[in-house]
Amino acid sequence: MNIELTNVTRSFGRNRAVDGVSLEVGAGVLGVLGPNGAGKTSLLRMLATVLPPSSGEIRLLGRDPKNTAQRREIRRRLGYLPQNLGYYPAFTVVEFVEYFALLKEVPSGRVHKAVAEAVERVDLGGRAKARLRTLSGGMLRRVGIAQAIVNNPDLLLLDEPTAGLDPEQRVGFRALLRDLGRTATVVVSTHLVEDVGAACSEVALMDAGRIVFRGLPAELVARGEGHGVGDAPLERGYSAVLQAARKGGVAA
Amino acid sequence: MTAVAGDARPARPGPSLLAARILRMEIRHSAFVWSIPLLAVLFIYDPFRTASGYPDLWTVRASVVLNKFWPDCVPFTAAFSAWAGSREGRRKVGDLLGTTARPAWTRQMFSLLGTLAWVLAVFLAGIVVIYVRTAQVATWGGPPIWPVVVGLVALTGVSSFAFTLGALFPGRFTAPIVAVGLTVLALVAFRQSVDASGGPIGTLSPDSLVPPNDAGVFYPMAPDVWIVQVMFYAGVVLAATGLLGLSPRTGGVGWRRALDAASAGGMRLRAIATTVFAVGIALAVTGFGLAGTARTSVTGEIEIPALHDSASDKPIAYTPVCAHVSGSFQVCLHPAYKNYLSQAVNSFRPVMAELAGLPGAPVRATEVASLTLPAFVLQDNVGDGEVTGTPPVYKFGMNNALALAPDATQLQDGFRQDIVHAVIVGSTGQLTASVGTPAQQAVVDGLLKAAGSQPYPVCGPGDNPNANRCRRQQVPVTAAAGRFAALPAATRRAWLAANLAALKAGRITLAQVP
Repeated sequence: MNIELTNVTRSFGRNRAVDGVSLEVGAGVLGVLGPNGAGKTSLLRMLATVLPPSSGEIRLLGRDPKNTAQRREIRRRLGYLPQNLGYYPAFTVVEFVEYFALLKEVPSGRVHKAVAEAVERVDLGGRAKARLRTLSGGMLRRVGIAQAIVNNPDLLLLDEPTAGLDPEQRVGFRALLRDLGRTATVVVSTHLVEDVGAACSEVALMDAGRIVFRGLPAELVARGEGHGVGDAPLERGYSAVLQAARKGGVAA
Repeated sequence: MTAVAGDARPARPGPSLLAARILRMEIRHSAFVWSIPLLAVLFIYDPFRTASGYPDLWTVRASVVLNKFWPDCVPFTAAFSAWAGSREGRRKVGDLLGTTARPAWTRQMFSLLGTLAWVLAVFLAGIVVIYVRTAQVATWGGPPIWPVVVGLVALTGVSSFAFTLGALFPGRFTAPIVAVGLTVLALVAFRQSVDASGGPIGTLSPDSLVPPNDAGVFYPMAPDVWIVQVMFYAGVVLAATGLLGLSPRTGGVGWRRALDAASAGGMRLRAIATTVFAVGIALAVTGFGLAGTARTSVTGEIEIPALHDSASDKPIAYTPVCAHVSGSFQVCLHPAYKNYLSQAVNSFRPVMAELAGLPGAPVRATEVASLTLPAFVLQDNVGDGEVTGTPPVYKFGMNNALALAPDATQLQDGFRQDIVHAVIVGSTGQLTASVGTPAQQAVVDGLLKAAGSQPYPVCGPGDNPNANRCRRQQVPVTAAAGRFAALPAATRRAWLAANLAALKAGRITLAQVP
């Protein structure tokens, strides 16, 4: 398994953002859904090795991120797009992606090719030499995705990747996700259930720091049958599971 | 879902490639570039113009590197280094960068180097301009290396310190606050300490006073203070960069874990950061401690006893440059002052035409190190000198002459006043300088007037009661001097030949002066 979580918690003061999550994930695209404050971003930050868990065990790509050498190896094979993408406005698209390629220790002979491929995959080839300060929000999001995939990661973590993308870009991005999920483990945190339906092979639903549902998108749809909340089948499943969880039962 | 992804990954890039590419990127995007035009204007207006106005001596002109150019560079260096240091925090890329394989410390080092490369390049470019200009006019010696080394290390210290502050406290106001803070430290605290000639802070300040003209001319410049300064600022560099690798706020490993790792003897990054930090603190503290032991050496310089090499107290061998002035009288200067030889010759010529050959008059004027002249001579007049030995030789220093005489006319008057005073009045051998008897004063001023120079400054400058009273008392002397100057040169010389010994002994009255 590329991701193995055992009873992982993460607290910020009295607030327990992630509460006893256990999870095993292999290759494929896992969509993580949940309302605001459910703990999705904290979970992704722990998976990205930038936030240590308060308790519990994490193993990523078969390695222990607490160990410095193993954490470095994980990071060489990790791609991460945070919810709020910080960037250097004076850098060009290529420079920004190359900067991350170098920091991710992409092999020297492959840097140029990897950067060019990543930029092309997010459809920014025509703006490769544009400075980031000149790009729109959607384009910046795509730059963020390019830097995340430049090292051809085995573990790709995307926090709200489609925020700011127009419908056409979103469709293209879902295709990219499916493609990446063939060989790597892709975890996508999102509010947009249609992203999950279109791109994810599996879905996990979080609420109050816990995973209250995990299964195939079709299974989530099935949970929503007979419930009237939501416009789409997945949304109805989403609200049905949340309602059930909040009444005290955690769906498996 | 499938099993764990395979481990077969190609080797990571070599450090040199990473360094070259990231450094190139950081250099290209350093905001310091924007300050270069302003720094260039400042450079021309301040250090370059000042150096060009100094005597044609390497040590004196090179002093602007530290007491003019270095302070000019400090605010820009501090501001843009702090700006670069705060970049990750300001741009909120910490999470993103935190997932990369390269340690935060390495990444930040490249960012620091990107700014530092510009800082040092600009500083070195300025030094090259000053040194090339000096090489065109200096007649002896070579470019001093120590001011360059101290300046580079001290600027690196400013840059590292500011960068670390920026990284620790990221924000858009960090850079201006750090720039103002370090500039105040450099320009106010350092300069006041230097002016007060006090304490280790003054000794450690690169913003030092202009050295005497004789510095490094007759005696080597002892590197003691420079070594201590390099030690201190290298310590600041190491402590600041080590702190970057340790503080959790900058992506470091945290103090407790770092100390654990260091005590375990592991050579991991955190152990290295701990070592770098500890060595830096030790160096800075040692430098500060040594600076506190500074004292004045026998050659008049500041020495650090623990570092002082007595070899630097021995005079430098040189072959003087000489020229004939009048008859057999010649003037000899240190080759460093060769550019002033013709000025010295022209200054001495009219007065020595009347004095040369008289009993007790010098056969030669030789420049000596000012510190070898007695104190009562040094406090006398601009042309510091005395007649000693057999045959008598007029020994004088150029140190004060060049420092106190801002233009050629004043320098010429100073030379003449002093040699005439030394021949006619001589020194009393006491700290209180003697202006001579009224008759001696009249003869001195008469000879100076005949040579077209100002009278010997007896009363001092300014409009004050003492000076005015003195001037009233000088009226008969001035009248006698005018009479003496009006005599034909041959008559003056004949009278001096007959009466010089009595005049020097004080047995001639003012009324006896023709």
